[in-house]
Amino acid sequence: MTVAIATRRNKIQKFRLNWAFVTTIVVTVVLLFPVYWMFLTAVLPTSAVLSRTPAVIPIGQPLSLDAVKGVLTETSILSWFARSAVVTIGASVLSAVLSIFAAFAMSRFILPGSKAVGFTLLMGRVLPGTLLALPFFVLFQTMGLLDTSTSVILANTAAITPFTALMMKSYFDGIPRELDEAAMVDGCSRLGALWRVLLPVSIPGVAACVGFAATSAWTDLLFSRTLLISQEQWTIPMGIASMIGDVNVNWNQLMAVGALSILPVLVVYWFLQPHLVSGMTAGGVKG
Amino acid sequence: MSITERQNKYDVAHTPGNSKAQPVRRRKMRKANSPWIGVALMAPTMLWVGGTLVFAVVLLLSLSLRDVGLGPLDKVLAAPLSLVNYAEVLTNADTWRSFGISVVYVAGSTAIPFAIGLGTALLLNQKMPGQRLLRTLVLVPWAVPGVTATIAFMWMMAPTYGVVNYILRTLGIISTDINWFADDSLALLAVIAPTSWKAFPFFTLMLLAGLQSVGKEQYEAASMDGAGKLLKFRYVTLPALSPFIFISVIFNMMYAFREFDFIYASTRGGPAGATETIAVRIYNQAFERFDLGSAAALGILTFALIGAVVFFLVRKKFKGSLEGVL
Repeated sequence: MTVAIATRRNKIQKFRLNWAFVTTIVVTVVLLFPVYWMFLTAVLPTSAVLSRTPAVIPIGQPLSLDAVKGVLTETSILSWFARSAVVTIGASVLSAVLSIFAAFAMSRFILPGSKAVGFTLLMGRVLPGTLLALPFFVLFQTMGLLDTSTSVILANTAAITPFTALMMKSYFDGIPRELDEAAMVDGCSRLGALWRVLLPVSIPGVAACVGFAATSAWTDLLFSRTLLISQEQWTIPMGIASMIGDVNVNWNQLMAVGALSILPVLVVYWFLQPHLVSGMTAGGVKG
Repeated sequence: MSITERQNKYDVAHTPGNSKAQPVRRRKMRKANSPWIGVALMAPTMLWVGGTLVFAVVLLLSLSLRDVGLGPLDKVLAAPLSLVNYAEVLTNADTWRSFGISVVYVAGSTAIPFAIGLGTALLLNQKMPGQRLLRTLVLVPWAVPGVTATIAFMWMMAPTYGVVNYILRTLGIISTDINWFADDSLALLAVIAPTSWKAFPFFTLMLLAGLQSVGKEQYEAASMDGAGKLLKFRYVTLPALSPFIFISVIFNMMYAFREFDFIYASTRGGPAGATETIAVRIYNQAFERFDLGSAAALGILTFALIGAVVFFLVRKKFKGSLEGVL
């Protein structure tokens, strides 16, 4: 009798699960369509792309890598990638180090003027970057850093750190103080406690920080646009924006550059993904 | 000092009953009470982030008080003080139009991804095969650079060869092609599309975390009381979800307000200013129209507005729930 009920329940449950599964698959397909369409456009011949009746699933269409080849030979995409890589690595390392120190200070010390610190970081988060574009332009012009990757790295770091510092702080807040106090009783210095005890258990938080910083820097258009003048200095978003400016947009090539610009981010996310959810949300919600 | 030396020192201090450990221990404990290490650790961030903000405010304030629109910076800064820029900005109808566009843009780019995010979170909270893969896939738009998302949508919504117009034509909804990004009554909707698409995974993530915080017992208890699916959602899920909803909405609104990439890459604020939000207008005034004074005045006014909102949020009602996320 009990067995029969259990089986029936299982059956009902199974049926329901499949229903949710099918819906999820359909929804995912629809939501990811823009990415699919971009990759598809990048590998279809121009004749198939410029069609009034585009095939959503191009069965039997010949694939062509002409657009990718064209992008590699006709644009400076390799230089854009190299510049973006420099900016991304520079800004994420710099802002990760700054925010780990700042977060440690905010989480574990009674700071004089801590309210001013909090307010500054909040303002840094909320203010439109465009408001800072002009001051940064003037600042880097005076420093002689205009039109260098360094200026874009520094500008991005100033924009990213308020986010990552508060993100790290809430992560550290979630870790019991007793842990680093125990390490100090055992003879660790304050910094030793951070390095040996706090950081190793904060890998998800650090991963989320680095992921956030790298994505922000990789995708930054505003500061590159404002601070970089010569074409040799352009980053990927600048390159893409310059290709839209053309009168006749070469959609094939534009989608090829777009697809290529996603790949590094996807690789980074693949490695960070296991940490991302807990790193982003842990300690973030207290209400 | 090498790692091994440090390790040795650590081990020496760590060994119980080691006479050398005592002085080390006492010294470290005294250090812990001093805030100066904290100040030193905080200093680089405050110097760069705070210094930048202070410099920005001082420069913008100074620029905004000069009655010179065009010209090299040193000449502008040498001009006599005047409030004419503020009067100009506050009485200019375009400023208020931009403000209205910002409100619509922020509302649209929050409401749409919230709805998609809630739907996907509810779906992904169900047990199903391939759960982890599906969760990762749904988060993909989040990882797509804003400029890349923008060009993907510009291509999909292109007038002649775009797939969106093709689908609408096939379904018989439209007879002539729509030029989404160039039509001044549709351009705002067109830029909201890629913004929302990139933003929804953030809601999925936050709301999924919220859904997972609801204990099974709560649903079981509701079932005992005879609650159906809808009642359970209303009286168990929603209350548990509300802090997550509140925080993700506030966070996303701030994000949308400062947004630049989507709009600048596609329309640059056009056509005819139809997509010129406040954030984009500040940029265009300075770098497209070279009206430094009015760009600075608008910047200062925005700064004051946001400062007041942040101050209110931190001070008043939401202190506890916003800490950490803001």
